[in-house]
Order: sequence, then structure tokens, then C-alpha cells
Amino acid sequence: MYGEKYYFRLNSRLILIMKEEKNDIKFSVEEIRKYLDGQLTDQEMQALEKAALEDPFLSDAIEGIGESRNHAYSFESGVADLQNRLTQRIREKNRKSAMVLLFSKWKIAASVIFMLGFTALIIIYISNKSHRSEIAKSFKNDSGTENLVSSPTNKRTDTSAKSSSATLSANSDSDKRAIVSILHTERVIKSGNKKLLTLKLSKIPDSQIKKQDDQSTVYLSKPSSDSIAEPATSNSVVKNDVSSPTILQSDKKNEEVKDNNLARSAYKSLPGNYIKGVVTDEKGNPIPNAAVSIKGAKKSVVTDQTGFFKLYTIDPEFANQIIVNSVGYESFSVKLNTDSSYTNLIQLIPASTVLNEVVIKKNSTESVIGWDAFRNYIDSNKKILTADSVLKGIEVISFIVNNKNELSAFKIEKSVSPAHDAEIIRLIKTAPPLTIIKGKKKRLRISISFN
Amino acid sequence: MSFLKNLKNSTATDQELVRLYKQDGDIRVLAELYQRYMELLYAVCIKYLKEQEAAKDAVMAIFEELVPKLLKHEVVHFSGWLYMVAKNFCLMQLRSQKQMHIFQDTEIMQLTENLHLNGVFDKEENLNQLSKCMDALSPDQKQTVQLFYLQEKCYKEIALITDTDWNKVRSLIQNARRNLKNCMEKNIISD
Repeated sequence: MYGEKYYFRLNSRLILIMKEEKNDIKFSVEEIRKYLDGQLTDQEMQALEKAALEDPFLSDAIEGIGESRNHAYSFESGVADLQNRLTQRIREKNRKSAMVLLFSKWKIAASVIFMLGFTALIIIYISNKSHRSEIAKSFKNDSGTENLVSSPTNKRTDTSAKSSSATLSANSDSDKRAIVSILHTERVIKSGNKKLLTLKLSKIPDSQIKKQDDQSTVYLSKPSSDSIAEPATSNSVVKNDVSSPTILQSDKKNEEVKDNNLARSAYKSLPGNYIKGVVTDEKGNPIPNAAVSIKGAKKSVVTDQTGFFKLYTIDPEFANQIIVNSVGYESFSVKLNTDSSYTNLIQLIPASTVLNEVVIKKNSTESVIGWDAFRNYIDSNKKILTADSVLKGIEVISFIVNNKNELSAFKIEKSVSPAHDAEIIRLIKTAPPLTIIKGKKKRLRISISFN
Repeated sequence: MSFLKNLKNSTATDQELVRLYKQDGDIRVLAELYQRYMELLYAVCIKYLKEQEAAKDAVMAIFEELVPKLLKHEVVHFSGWLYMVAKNFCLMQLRSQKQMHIFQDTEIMQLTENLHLNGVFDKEENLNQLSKCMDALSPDQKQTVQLFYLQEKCYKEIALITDTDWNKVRSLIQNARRNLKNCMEKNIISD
């Protein structure tokens, strides 16, 4: 029918056309526009059509530009807007990197100041501690010689306590850079002391309180300008009434309180405490827009297009129990690895598979009729309902089945209309009884489509 | 655009710009490259998303996606790769919308077939095969393929000559190409 020459020609053209050689697009939007407006010559049109058959990018673009002609705004105005946005985006990036450079200098300065302050704090703390033990020691010596505390000894302990507070205040004055952090911890120590103090005081017998009152008047007659002196001195007052081992113990407790507070404040300031992970379906396809939340907390995030999420938490220990929810999948509760560098993989199970655990019995004595029969029952009965309503969609309902075949806690998870909800609940309640194979109760989820 | 004036890359090929970006990670280089395809991408996004504002957002989001992606992936044909990234983005967006309101057009989810013959014509023995496959086409399809590929008529001309609708011509050619491809592949496998 056709000569060999003909096929050679056809073939060589097809080779050129069909070879998998993706060249850069040679056609501009301007040409596409002309093509759509019918401003190209027949040859030019054919060339564009040929190229579009080869390149889905081009053919999609032609369709898109054609589509844009039905829209309110011109394609060109959209492109202009995009160019502005892209320019803006680049500028932003440049500014940001400049800011980072600027900030990094400040960061170094800030961290140096912080380090200095922190060391100062530790030095103060240690000196304070040694002073206190000195006080305790001196008192121990005193109580060794005298059983009842006399006023001269009181004065002695008083002054030694004063001196300790004096050094404390002097130290804090000398290092103003550490003001914030030091003041904070001092307040912590102070409040800690006060608590212990009140506890101790309540245990002191009446006769001794009188003595203590005398003591405090002595003290009050020469008030200190520094507030820190107050807990330190009152501490020594208590020391007069209780035995020295307890004093040391209370000191230790204070240390513990302080250590805990320090540890906590340092922990909270740590950056990058987050849990991350990827949510997929059972085949490993990412699930976007799945809600990820911490059990008992309001905070939640939504996965992105790749199923990825990042959940920032102050304390990962609270975030042990993570709940993942997505429409059409079983709600999933899981304990995740809280290490920020670890990517947790979470696979969600489609909602319907839970139904496999359930069989249907016509009644308790007859044999199992199976899930299909139940489906048929719902399908054949729901037709009554669709006659009432023209609404279409999928209704998802869940409820609890217990081992007595009783149904409770109906929950509409996806509603078509309130009428549908009521009808579905009625249908399920009047359906052949459902039983569970194992366990005491199970939540069942059923989806019914109305078309 | 002002930031592009600093770069003398306007004559550089895609490949060169990709290499430059991989080397320096300079976002401006990527922007320069991206800008070449931005209009086409915008059109593609309009095609899939049907809305201009959504398409604009998608174009910007795709750019953000490229910033890390291009550094990681080995890209040979930038335009083809970019198209796939953009198309996947749009389809994912449609899919996530679909999860919200269950029913939507499912046809759009189908990926277009790869119509390339992957060099089967390179072999001389396949020449005869092609003539057999041509004869196996329906008369309509055969006629349009001949007009389009041999006589180089555009769709409009073919529509006039054969007295058929423009859209019909296009689908005839697309179907003929698919049939030819299937026919050739079947015979290659049976050989």
C-alpha cells in the first residue's frame, strides 16, 4: 500500500518526535497567547501542537492559559503579581541574612555576659554555703559548751550571719551584669527559707518562742539595709532553737530547692525542644492535614503536604502521649521518641478495618451471619431515608459495643444532616445485635454513603 | 527585576544555573532560573487548581519547595523535573482538599501516560513493525496522523480538511499515538 520511502519519512519524523529528549521549552507564553488568539500561521500552529504532544508541561500550560481566559483577572496581571512576590521574597531573604549577621555579634556578647553572670552566681552560691556551714559550725561549738543559749552567743551568731549576708550583697553589687539571674535565684532561696522557717517555728514550744522574740527584737533594733540579710539572720534565729544536725539538713533542702529551680529554668530556655515525625497511611503514602496533638493539652499541629509535623513542647516528658487524627483513619494514640533529631514514623489505619473485629449475630443463640449481612441490612433500610432527603454524602458514626451486645455512646463523626444522624442511630439500634469476639467493649466506626 | 541585574546569568543554560545554585545555594540564582518558567508554571497551576489566587499561592509554595529540594536532588532536565514537582504539588493540594469534602473529580488524579517510545524506533527491524501498526489504526486515526506528521497540517487545517471538530482532531492524534506506542511495545515484547 505505501512505499518504503513513505515509511522512512514517517519513521524519521516519529523518531525525532518521540525520542525521549526533553529540550528546554522553546515556546514562550506570548506564543501560546497568539496561538490561542489564532494569530499564528498554520505552520507555527502545527509546530506548537507537535511540541505540546511531546511535552506535557507545554500542553498543560496551554490549557491553563486557555482556562485563565474565563477568569475575572487577566493572566498577565497574575504574572505581574507573582513577579512582585518573588522579588519581595528574595529581598526578605537578603534582609534576613543581614539581620542574622548583625544578631550574631550581639549573640556572642550576650552569651559572654550570661556566662560571666552564671559563674558569678556559682561563686556567690559556694561562698554563701561555706559561710552557712561556718555559722553552723560555730554554733555547734557554742551549743557544745552551753546548753541554753545566752545573749552574748546570740550576738555572735547574729553578727556572723550578718557578715555572710554582707558578703553576699557586696558580691552581687560588684557584678551588675548578673543582676537578673542572681536576683531571681536569691528570691528563690529566700522564699524557700521562709517556708522552712514557718514550718520550724510552728514546732517550737512556747517557752522558747519567748526567747526567740527577744532575739528578733535585738535583731530588729539594728535593721539591715539589705533584704537578703533577713532570711539569713532569721535562719540563725531558728538555729538557736533547734539542734544543729537539723540545721544542716534544712540547708541541704534549700540547696535542693535551688538546684531544682536552676535546672528547670535552664531546661525551659533550651531551644529546639520538639517532636517530629511523618504520618503515612498503611502503604506509606503521606497523609497531609492530619492533626497531631498532645494528650490532655490544647496544643496541636497539622501535618504538611509530605505528612511531616513538628510539635514544639516545653517539656517532652509531658508529650509522651501523642494523638494523631485524620479523616477516614483511625484515631491513633502513641508514645513517641521525644528526641528532636529523631523522625517518628506513624502509620494510620483506615477507619473501616476495625470492623473486621466484629461479627454480627442474628440473635444470641443463632449462628453468626457476618458483616455482609449487616451491610445489606443497612443498605436496604437506608433507602427509606434517601427518599426523604436529597442530600448526598458519607455519614460516619461510631459507638461502643459491650460484651452484653449493648450499644452506647453514639457519636456522629461525619454528618450529612441531623435527619440522617437520627435515622442511622435508629437503624443501628434496631439492627441484628452486634457482638465482640474478645474484650469487654469496643468502639465501632461505621461509614454509610448516601448517593 | 532588580536583583537579576546583578547576575549575568540571563544567557546561562538551565543546567548551568542549577549547578551554580547547588554550588552556592544562592537563592537569587534559583529565582532567576525559576522566573524563566514562572509564567508556564502559573498556567499549569491554573489548569489544575482552577483558581487564580490558589494558583499564585501554589507558584510561590513550589518555589519554597525547590529551595531545599534542588540542593538535594540530581536534576538533569530542569524543566521536566520542575513540571513534575509542580504537578505533584497541585495534585497533592487537590487530594488534601478531597479529604475535606469527600467527593470531587477523580479523573484529575490520573497521571498522564508516558507516550514516549523510549527509543524503540532506533532499531531498523522496528521499521516494518511501524507500518503494521499504522495499518492497525482506525481509518480516522491513520488519516489524522498522516496529515499531522507527514503533511504538517495544524489541528485547525485538519479539522477543515476532514470536516471534524478541533477537539476531535486532537483526541484522534493523541489516541493514535497511544495505540502506536502500545502496538510497538507489544510486538517488541513478543519478539
